[in-house]
Amino acid sequence: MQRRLYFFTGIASLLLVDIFQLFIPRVVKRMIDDLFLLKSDRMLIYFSYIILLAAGMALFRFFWRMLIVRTSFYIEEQLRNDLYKKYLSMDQSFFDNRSTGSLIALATNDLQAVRMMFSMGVVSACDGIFLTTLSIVFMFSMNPLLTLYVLIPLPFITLFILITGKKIFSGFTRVQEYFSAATAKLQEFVSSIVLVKNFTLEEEAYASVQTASLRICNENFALMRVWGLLFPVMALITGLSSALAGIRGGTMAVMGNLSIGEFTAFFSYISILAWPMMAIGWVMNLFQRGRASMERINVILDTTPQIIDGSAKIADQPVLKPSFSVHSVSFRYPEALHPALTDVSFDIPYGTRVGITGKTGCGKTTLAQLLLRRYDPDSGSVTMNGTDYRDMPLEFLLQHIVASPQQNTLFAETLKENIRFGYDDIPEDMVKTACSRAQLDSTIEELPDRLETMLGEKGVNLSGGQKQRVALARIFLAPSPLRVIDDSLSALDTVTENQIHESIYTLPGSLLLISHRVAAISRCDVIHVMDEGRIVESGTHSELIERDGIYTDIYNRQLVKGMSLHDK
Amino acid sequence: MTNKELYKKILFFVKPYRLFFVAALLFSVITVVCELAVPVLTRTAIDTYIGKRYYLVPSDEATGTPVTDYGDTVITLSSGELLINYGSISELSVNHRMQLLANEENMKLYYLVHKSMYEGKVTDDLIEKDDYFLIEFDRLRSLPREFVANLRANDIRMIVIIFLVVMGLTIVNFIFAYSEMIAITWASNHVIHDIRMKLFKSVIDLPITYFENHKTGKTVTRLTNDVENIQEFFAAVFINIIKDVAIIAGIIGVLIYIDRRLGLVTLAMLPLVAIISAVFRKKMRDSFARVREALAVVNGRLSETLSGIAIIQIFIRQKEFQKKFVADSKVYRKSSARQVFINSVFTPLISMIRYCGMGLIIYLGANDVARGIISLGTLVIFIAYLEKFFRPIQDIAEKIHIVQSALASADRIFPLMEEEPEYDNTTITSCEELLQKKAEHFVEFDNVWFAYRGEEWVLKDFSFTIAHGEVVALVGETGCGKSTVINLLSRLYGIQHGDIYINGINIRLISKKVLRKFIGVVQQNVTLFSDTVKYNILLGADASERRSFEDVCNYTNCSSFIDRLPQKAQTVLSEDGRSLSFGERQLISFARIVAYNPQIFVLDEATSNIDSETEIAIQDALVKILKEKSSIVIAHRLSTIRHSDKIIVIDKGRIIESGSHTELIALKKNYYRLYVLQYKEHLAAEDISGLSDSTI
Repeated sequence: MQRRLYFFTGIASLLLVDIFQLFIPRVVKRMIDDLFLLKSDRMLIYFSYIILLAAGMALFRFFWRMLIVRTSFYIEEQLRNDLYKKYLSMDQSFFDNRSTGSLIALATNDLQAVRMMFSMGVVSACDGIFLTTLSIVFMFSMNPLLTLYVLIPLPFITLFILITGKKIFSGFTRVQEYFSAATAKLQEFVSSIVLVKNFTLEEEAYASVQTASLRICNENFALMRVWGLLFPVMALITGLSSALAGIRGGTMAVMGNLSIGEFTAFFSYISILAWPMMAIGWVMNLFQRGRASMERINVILDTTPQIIDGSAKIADQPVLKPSFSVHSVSFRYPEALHPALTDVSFDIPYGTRVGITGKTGCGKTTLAQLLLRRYDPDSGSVTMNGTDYRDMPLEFLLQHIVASPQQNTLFAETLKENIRFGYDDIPEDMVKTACSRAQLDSTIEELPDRLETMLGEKGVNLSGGQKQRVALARIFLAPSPLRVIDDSLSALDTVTENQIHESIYTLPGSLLLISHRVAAISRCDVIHVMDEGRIVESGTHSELIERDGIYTDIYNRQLVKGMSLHDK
Repeated sequence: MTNKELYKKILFFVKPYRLFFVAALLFSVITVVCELAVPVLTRTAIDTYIGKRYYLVPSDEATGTPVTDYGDTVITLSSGELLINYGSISELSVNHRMQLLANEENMKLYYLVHKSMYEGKVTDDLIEKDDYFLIEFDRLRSLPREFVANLRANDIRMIVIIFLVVMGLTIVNFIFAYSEMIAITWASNHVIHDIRMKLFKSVIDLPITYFENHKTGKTVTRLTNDVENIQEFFAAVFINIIKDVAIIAGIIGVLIYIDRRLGLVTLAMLPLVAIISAVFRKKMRDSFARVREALAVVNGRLSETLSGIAIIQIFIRQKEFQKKFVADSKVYRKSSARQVFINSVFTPLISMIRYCGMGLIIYLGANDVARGIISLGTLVIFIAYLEKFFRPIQDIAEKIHIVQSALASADRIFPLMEEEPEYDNTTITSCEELLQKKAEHFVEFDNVWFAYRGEEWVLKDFSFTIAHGEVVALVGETGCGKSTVINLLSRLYGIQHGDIYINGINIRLISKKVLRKFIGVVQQNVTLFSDTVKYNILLGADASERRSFEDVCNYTNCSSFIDRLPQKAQTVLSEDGRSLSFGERQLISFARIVAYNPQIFVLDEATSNIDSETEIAIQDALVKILKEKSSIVIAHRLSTIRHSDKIIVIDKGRIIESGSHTELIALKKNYYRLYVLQYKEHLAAEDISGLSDSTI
């Protein structure tokens, strides 16, 4: 409400600025008329008028800027925070359907377009309307006929903007695109310089950059051919309008129908009018883009997650030793042709270590997603202590599970905060223990501020293997009764991998271990082998080896990996 | 580099297009003249035609005053009376004015028309004097329209002509303003293109050590942002600043010429506006930098959140992230508000100075008009010029920043252009020359010493040979120097002591291009270009020299996965290869080297991350390809290199063992220890001493 008040006060200030601005030619007109009639006694009065008008303009200019533009930043802030909150509350399928880039664009480009609509759009629109109406009124009050003459050419500025506006806008977008493409190309070649040199690709690289650079060159030129017309056209049309005013107004002045002061005032009003004529096109563009952006933002703000909290009050406190079960679950991703999981059932009684293996794309990761309730199954159910996931609040469920997704993300916080990640009351020596178990000690030794080192964006960037180990330390530390570890060791060397396996197998509570490498899961209490969305074999390592099925096949293939070069 | 040197270097790139720039400069001078001419014409219209009025000085006051050389200003009548043109009254000398117009307050102003110009009726209103008809100016208004129109027909005609000329000038202005824009855009775009290409050529020819010491991002910034800064200099500053100065100088010149006092007052405003603009510009820049920084934090937080959304939700940390984001968002809004404040003070301040200055000059000018020092038309010129005066001043203040950042960028670009390129020797310039005769060893390292920095030797007294068609494996811990051996072979680095020979020829004598065509390297990290699969495999290669795409795909078993891609071989890959599995990326990397078809194959940890199925596919491919070729294999997993002809074990830059798998196992030293460590789990059941049995 207060914002709205600010906003409208701002617009009122803008109106005052415009009125003051338009009064100046009137004062000058009076001065000139007096001078023509050889009267000079009121010059000082006119001078003080101008100074007063100038001061008033300055003051209210300050006001409208502070009131309107600043308010627009508040609006932007509010919308941005709302969007962010929305993102945080959305479920996995929401993110599956939208690229991260588009979600970021919404909170950057689109938000900016909305803000521009509320600040420069509104200001220019009001300013244009005020200035146009008022100067036409002022001109009309001096000489209606001449006003009509003067106004003939001016709308052509607007017409020109409307015709070329789209072309100019798309031209700018294209130049920007080509520029990004060229940058990407340069980036690519510079970052793969070793490959370029090894494969003697210098000439190809040069040619390819040249093409990209010439494309910018040509597109830029094509854009400027249109965009470059803008100001000359504006000067041309105002010039023509002035010349018309000169011819008609001059004749009228000679005939005594127009005073010399009025004659000169017309020139001032024409130059004032040129700007709103140009602004019309621009404003329309701002509003179009602003509205389209606002719509896109609203669509997201109105979306509701598909994963809905259940209401069953299981317990006030987290369950200490929960068991989890998957009951004949089937699941298909919305866009997919084939189901990712078909009739999968297994249990994780408290304290057991369950291993899942199988080829890439067999559904291992989907299974973990369902256990974390990233998705709800199409049929069947996932339960904790016999209660269906869908019947309990999500937050309550997640207090019992931690997981390390395949893609590790570290945040721009300190290493310690990244490892604790929310469990802030865990003492530091336990953090250190978790780090040791994740084989992070030597990494931490090398960091400038050890555990307090800032990571990400502005801090230290870790290698892929180091990231994996930080994510593991996070899981080791979290006191949840079920840990899901999905192929988290792929970037580690054999020795480190072995050591981390030791740590994983000594963790308390239950464990779901997923890997396509048999060696990683061979020590689990029970191993499920998956193939095309089904569990095809289950048992301990030795049971499965004895069965001589798929598991044994994978095992043998992974063991004997020798490449026979030049077998003589 | 000094600014002078930098300008010189920039001008070097301008030279080929100097005609365009000269033309643009010429055009812009024409537009300035056109623009400044219009108010002068308006003055003529006002003073000479619209406000054409004469004082009639009685003969008794005029006698004894020789007033001959005033041209049109003073007309002497046969009666001895004088007619003095009010519009150019300021041309009279002070003495003459005192004498002739002493009684000015009571004198009447008359309109005057030459008899020959008047075709209307002669009425009683007209006073006849010599060849002229006179009429009291103030009475004109009360006379019939037709009469006045007849009387002032010439004035009207002249006004129409004057404003038709204005129209013409406007059109000329338009044509030249647009031409100037076109000339500048064309020329500056090409200058920038030339600079960018020259820079890229220099960059790509830099030795690999340069890229190790400079971050990729920085080098790319040189090629993009820094070049852009110079572009902006050309597009917005180079000619425009000359134009701005010309407008300011023109206006001040004309004003001082017309009226020195008013001109100087106008001039005095120049430093005032310039200083205020410069001060605020700096403040604005600083605050803008803060805004950008704050925005970067907000956007960074946002993208971090989106990419980590799963982990945030799994760990139930939404509230904490929300809190942090709101705080960041607030910092951004506050820094923006600060910027708005600076702007809100600056813009009104400048406009206030502008209108106050204008008010002052109009006031002073009005007094001058009243005292007959300047004509009314001159005052109108002042008003018109003042309206044009402020934009160029603010423009210049703004552009100084562009000049500074362009110079700063130039200072980063030109030294990079002059960096020493990779040294190249051209004694051997073709692969045929290299293969002419068959030397004893195909590859030979002879007492090679190498250090990346100073005396930190990475390879020490390193000697080994590879025979024609032999497979040699390098084994050792990470950092022992395995990859360095490869980099030295393809001369990415120069060695400090010793020699390397290929087919008996010292590689120092071989052109790098030839050398690198001779040696093909498959690296552990696959670099993909965001282009089609086909391009990524052939790498723009000249097909005649190398194998055909279809052959390559068949050899390497790539066809099966390529056929599954949406657009087959024409599918465009993303740079990080997200659309491909790791194994597929590795396959592309293999296909690449097969297409490249070098004489020496180098595989550096090429299979370390591959799943078993892909590895078998690659293995099939290699058997076909490596026949008759020499190769060097580096692998962490010893099973990969077991069957090599020769295995070289490296420790801290020295060769400690070498021989075949069987020989080294029998030796029971370093290689043996490594082997047992890696495979102890699988070997546990068997007799470890039985390792020498190659059936494992």
